[in-house]
Amino acid sequence: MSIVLTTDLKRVYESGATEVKAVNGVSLSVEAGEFTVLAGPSGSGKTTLLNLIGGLDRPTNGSVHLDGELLNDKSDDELTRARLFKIGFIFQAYNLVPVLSAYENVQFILQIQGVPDSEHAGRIMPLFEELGLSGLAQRLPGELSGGQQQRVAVARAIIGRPSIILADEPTANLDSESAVSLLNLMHRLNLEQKVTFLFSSHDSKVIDIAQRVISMRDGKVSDDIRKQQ
Amino acid sequence: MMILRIGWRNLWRNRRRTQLTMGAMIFACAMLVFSLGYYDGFLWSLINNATEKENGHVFIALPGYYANPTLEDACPEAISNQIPAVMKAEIKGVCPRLQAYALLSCGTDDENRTQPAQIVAVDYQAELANSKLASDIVTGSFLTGQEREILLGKGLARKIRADIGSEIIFFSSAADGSIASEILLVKGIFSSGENMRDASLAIMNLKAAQQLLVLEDRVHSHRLFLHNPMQAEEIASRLNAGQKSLEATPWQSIFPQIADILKVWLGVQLFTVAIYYAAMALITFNTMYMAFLERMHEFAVMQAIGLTRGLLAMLILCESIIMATASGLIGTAIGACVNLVLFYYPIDLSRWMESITWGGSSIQPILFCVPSLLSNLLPLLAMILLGFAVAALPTWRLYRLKPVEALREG
Repeated sequence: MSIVLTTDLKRVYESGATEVKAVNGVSLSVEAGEFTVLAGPSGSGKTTLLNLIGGLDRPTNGSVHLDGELLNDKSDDELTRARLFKIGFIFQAYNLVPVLSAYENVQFILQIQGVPDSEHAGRIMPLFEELGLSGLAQRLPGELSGGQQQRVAVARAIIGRPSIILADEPTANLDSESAVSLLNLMHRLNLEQKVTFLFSSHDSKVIDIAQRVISMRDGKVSDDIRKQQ
Repeated sequence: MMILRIGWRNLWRNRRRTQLTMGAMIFACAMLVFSLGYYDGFLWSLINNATEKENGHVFIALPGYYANPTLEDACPEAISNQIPAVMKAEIKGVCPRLQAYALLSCGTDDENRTQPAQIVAVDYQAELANSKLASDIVTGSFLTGQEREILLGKGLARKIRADIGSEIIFFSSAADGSIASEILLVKGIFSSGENMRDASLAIMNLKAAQQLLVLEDRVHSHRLFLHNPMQAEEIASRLNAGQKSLEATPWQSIFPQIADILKVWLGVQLFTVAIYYAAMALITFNTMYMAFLERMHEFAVMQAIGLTRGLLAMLILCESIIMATASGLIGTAIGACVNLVLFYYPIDLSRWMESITWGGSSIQPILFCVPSLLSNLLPLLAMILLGFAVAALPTWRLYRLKPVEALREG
């Protein structure tokens, strides 16, 4: 079943008198349980494509279906709710709420999803255990290393049980060891819990570990390779 | 709950900025509470000085007496049967008074020691119970009911060179045309703060004056003292509706300038609030807007992970309201304490300033405040309102925020 389906997706930016076709006619589908990377050089349209799939940006042309629902027609608030329940975001710069502890950053998603308070600890603590964050729950983001912050960001992304995790260059700010550790963790979540991941990255470590690599160039899909597992 | 927690913690991210802003808000609020308390104290003093010594809150006399007083236009001393029983609960007391003019002379060797004076004859017990007349005594003591006592204004006593115990020759014409004369003894000297009044007024016992002026069981006026001076117009109107033999005049008609101030008082208070808070609004707005601009990227991330614009607006509102309410409460508490202290312990500034006569009353050089519910609530409510107002622009900007652009810029 397709979690993501884009058809002839285009996003054109006006830059003075010139038009920049950041995404130019991309049609692709991402199936449930896939571990997919959008690869390509800077400016190839990876992040713009992720933003369109995540409902953060609106296409100039074409359509995006998420879990069978067309995103194009949704209002801003409907898109926000779609992101809350169906998409987990992992950003390059972690982007945790700086005044909330690691635990509260993750709990925040459950609260706005309306999950009863009594269930929070029961869902968060096992996840923290699995991500190696048990002893760091009460620390503020500023008291955590980059790798630890990105693990909290992963926990925040998956705690709401979304259909897909969109990760924009998640290892770009991490040192090599932390990056490998984080990738292994996400890969394990993919294998064991069937969490669907869609990355944008030009990091060879991410590309090596992915099941499917969609290469982009000049806003178009130039290659789409599914690896044998 | 999490929104409230984030709002609270966000305030302390830039601790120094929040402390400075809140300090300014607290100061403005405290100063405003104090100012309104001082204005109320000023107005209250103005009304009290006009009514509680001299005229009472409602002036009752024969019709036309107030406008054109004569010695002969006297009314019965007992008027309690003219006051409806239902109204008596609203009346603190009644002071009957008799008014005349006389020549007062002290000693016999120098004619410069004779002065014309306005004589006010009072029931000393009623005055002690209701008016503030006795509080003006600066030398000697107030009347005790003995027949030959007289009190002199400070200026009058100086003019005729009289002191406590001096013999004063009272010389006037009585209501029946006969000559009224008596030797009186100075019991006390008073100073009301109004020089004109103190230079021409003498006070004596009602019974003695009635005998001297041949006005037994009659007085010229009754001064009603009310529990709430603001009810004077209503009480006077009910008294006038109930009977025609006497005329009741509220203090608002006697002192129209003071009454006019009262009519615009709420407007004056609101204007004061506006002036105090105008600069405050700009400072607070600047803080809130700076804090908003610094966190555009953060708001975009929150929108990306699923926080609706409504919840984000609530977050901004929370921060602003927390800051305004906390400042308002602390500022109001400080201002109210200052007002309370100055209510019980007014500061006498007469060493540096003189009293001013205005509108038929006197403005005393006293730093005196009246703590009222309105003067405390108005600044607090206005401060909370300010919290809403300064959050308006950031909230509006938030609704126009495109998360993808803010994420890209961040």
